[in-house]
Amino acid sequence: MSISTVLTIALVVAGCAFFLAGTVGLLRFPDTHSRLHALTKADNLGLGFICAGLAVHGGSVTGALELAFVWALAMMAATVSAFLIARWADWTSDQ
Amino acid sequence: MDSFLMGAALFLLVNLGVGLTRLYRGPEPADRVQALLLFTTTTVAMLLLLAHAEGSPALIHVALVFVMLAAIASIAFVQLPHRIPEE
Amino acid sequence: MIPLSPVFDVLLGLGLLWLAWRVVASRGRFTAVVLFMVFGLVMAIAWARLGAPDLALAEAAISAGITGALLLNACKAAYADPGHPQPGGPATPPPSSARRWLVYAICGGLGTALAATMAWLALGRPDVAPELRDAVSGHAVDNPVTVILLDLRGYDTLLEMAVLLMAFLGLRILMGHRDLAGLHPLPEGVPSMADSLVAMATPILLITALYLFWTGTEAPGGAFQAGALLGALGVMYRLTGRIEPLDHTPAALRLGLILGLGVFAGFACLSLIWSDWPLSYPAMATAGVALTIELAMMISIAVTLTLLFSGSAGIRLARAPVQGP
Repeated sequence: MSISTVLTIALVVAGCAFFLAGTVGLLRFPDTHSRLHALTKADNLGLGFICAGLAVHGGSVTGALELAFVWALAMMAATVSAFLIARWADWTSDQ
Repeated sequence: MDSFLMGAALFLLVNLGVGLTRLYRGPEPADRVQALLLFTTTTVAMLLLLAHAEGSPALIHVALVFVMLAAIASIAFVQLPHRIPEE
Repeated sequence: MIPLSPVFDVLLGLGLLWLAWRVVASRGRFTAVVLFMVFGLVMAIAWARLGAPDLALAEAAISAGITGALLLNACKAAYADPGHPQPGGPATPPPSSARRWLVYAICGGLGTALAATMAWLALGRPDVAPELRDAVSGHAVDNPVTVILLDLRGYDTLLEMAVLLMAFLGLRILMGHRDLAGLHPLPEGVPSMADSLVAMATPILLITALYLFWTGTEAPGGAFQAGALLGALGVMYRLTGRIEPLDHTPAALRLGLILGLGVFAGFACLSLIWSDWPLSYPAMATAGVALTIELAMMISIAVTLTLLFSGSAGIRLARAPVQGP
């Protein structure tokens, strides 16, 4: 059990836990805005931990950079999407 | 390690299945689009895990393509009329 | 210890079936569209599990980018059009129960027969045909999928380019009857965040598309994936108002539309010079021949997909950026 294996398992498990939290939030929170809050956590932290764990597993710098790039793009997309959906829901709830 | 990564991918797939209930029920259209957004991120995570579990680096490119195009659905969605007739 | 991979695959298959059923059986149009987009996501994972990253790439670019936005736009057009029948309005009486069960029986029977035939074919075949292995190993291009698309089954690819062109011609015919571009008008104001995202995404998408095109000779990638990605970029531009519809097709766009079919067909005719059959590669061919054809195809695919989404005869870059709240 090398240190990198332990680290990978810990990070991937943390990522999966955040994804679970995001899904639970999506199902159980009362309204649209709080559900958005839950799923952006899954996006940022869940994907981030999984990317970190896989970067440790892969071992190469290029692979780690690729994974970091995927994570950065995911955060950009999630930011804009959450903003747009929240604005849309705001308009609808104001009526 | 490969089977652990595979197990994590399986866990995420079950997550996706459970989240489908929100897409199926979700009273507002916004809820359905949120579920779609979560599923996109879940799919990206699954593809990354599969890329490392199976040793095919091309799947990381597939995840990259998904992530780049993830915002298109939201941009197209907010141009819909605010009162969707069938909801 | 439960074997994980079969469980994953079975869940994937069941999920696909459930999603397909819900897409067809959903009451609301919008719900069906969103379910269809999820279907595309799960389909891409299925391709990945089947060991076909080229197909997963194409599925990602087309379903996540183009088809999703296209269907959502169709929803928007249907809701906005007062003459279009709305769901929940006066409906035709449902078909009789006997007729429904007849339809179920026919569809179920055909589906089962198709699945059984494919299973029988798939289980009875060897892993990779030795002729295919020989053909790929001797070729200048390393990616077996590209070898099949461009060389062994080049005729299919040539006809697919013709199909794309015909789809655009069909669009031109439809435009004579309805104002398609007017069905999804440009947004009055695009939120600045979306605009900035599109601005940032442009170089990333361009580089990724060119990379996928370049690496198609050795690794998963190729003209279709790169062209679909560029088409998705065009879709983003059209959605945020950076591209405006025109009612005529400028010469450059016409060239782009016919470039893929033209270059491939020209190569097919040229190959009669060095062989008895059209569409055969010369003996000393390098990967450069394949890349040239793929470049032309990529441009055509990108232009055609963007025009099909835009629903107009032509497009141009907007004069002034559309800024909104």
